[in-house]
Amino acid sequence: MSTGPREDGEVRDLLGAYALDAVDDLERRAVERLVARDPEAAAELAALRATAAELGAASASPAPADLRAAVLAAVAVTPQEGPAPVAGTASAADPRGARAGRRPGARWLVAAAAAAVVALAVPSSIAWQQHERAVVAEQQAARLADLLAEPGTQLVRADVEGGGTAVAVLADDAGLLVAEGLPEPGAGRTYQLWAMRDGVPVPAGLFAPTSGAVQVAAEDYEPGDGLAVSVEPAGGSDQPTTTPVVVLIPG
Amino acid sequence: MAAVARGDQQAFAALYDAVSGPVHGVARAVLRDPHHAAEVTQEVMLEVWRTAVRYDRAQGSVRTWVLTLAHRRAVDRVRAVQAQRDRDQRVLDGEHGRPFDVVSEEVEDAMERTRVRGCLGTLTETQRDAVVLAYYGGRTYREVAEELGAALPTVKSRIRDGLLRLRDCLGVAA
Repeated sequence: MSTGPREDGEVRDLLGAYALDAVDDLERRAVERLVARDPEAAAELAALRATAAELGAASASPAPADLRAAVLAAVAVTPQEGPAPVAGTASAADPRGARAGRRPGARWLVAAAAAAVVALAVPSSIAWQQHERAVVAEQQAARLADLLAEPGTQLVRADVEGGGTAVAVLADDAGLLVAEGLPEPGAGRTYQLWAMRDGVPVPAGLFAPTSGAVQVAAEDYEPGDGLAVSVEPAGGSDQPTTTPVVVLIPG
Repeated sequence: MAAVARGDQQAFAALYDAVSGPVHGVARAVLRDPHHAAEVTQEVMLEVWRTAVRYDRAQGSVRTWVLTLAHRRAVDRVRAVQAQRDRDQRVLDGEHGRPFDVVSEEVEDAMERTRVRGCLGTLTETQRDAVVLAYYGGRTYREVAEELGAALPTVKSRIRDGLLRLRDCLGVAA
């Protein structure tokens, strides 16, 4: 492929249109190649972009007031690209301590009570630092953002027994589990999601985290339900057969 | 911005307060629909959070970076809406088929009392039309050429020369 002076000149003429997003995909790539190898073109593009930004800034108008809270809540559960930040401070409401030493049968209730303590009013700040590099698909982020923007949505956050952090996003029409840092469930075992309806776990689907991370909607969900997760034999169970690793009940 | 890239949510909240108005303004100017504009604003701010490490100081200010993302998203949305409309063969109000002078007037209203407006006035009329249609109208330069009945190379130069003149007038540092 030739990149002679004539072609470069033609591509350079596109810098203005490129800075205004007014080119097609082929032209966009041509400009990006030029800018990558030609510092002068790169400098011109930087100036043109800064100028275009002035056009944008000139039309500033306050964003809708409710958007701020929705965006900040979404940010609290959205992983970033790039180097991992320092791990967040431990949650003061870690339900693990409360569960220790109880009989397995009672743990569901105790865990539910502990989770209720950390239930957060939407959309107050959630201290959920990211522990590892992760990129959530944009669609998932959009889905999450939609749910977070709904007026009645509640967030419940808790650490997961055995490792990781989980947030339940409980809207009127959907319940979403977003978790990170989960260990592998082990050979012949699977994570199972439960909808917690009046204290009773209802099967809500199986899931397998990718690099410890997962975003999954409860297959069975009614408004007011909480969510819980347990590790079950492959194929899942009708009733939990182990102590839940996390229980997230709305406040 | 470095703090945002490290996952500092308070720093992000401060950034949101600083740039959400301009981002929303760009989205509204291009999309002309409050619902789409709010959605695009939300998408852009989440993109800023997720991709904060990609911000490169050498390429310009944070505001320029964020508004570049915002304009691209808004334009993508306009074109998606347009494509949808073409597929559906139904005519939606607003969006694309507005006469040029309407776009122009609305933009002028929004920009009153700003030096940007003054500087747009230093462009030739043909440069100004091309820049305004491309930036605020979300048109490609081909669509601009069609709309203004001008040749493609002419429109390319008008946009570039117009922006360069605007840069000089505004005293924009890259």
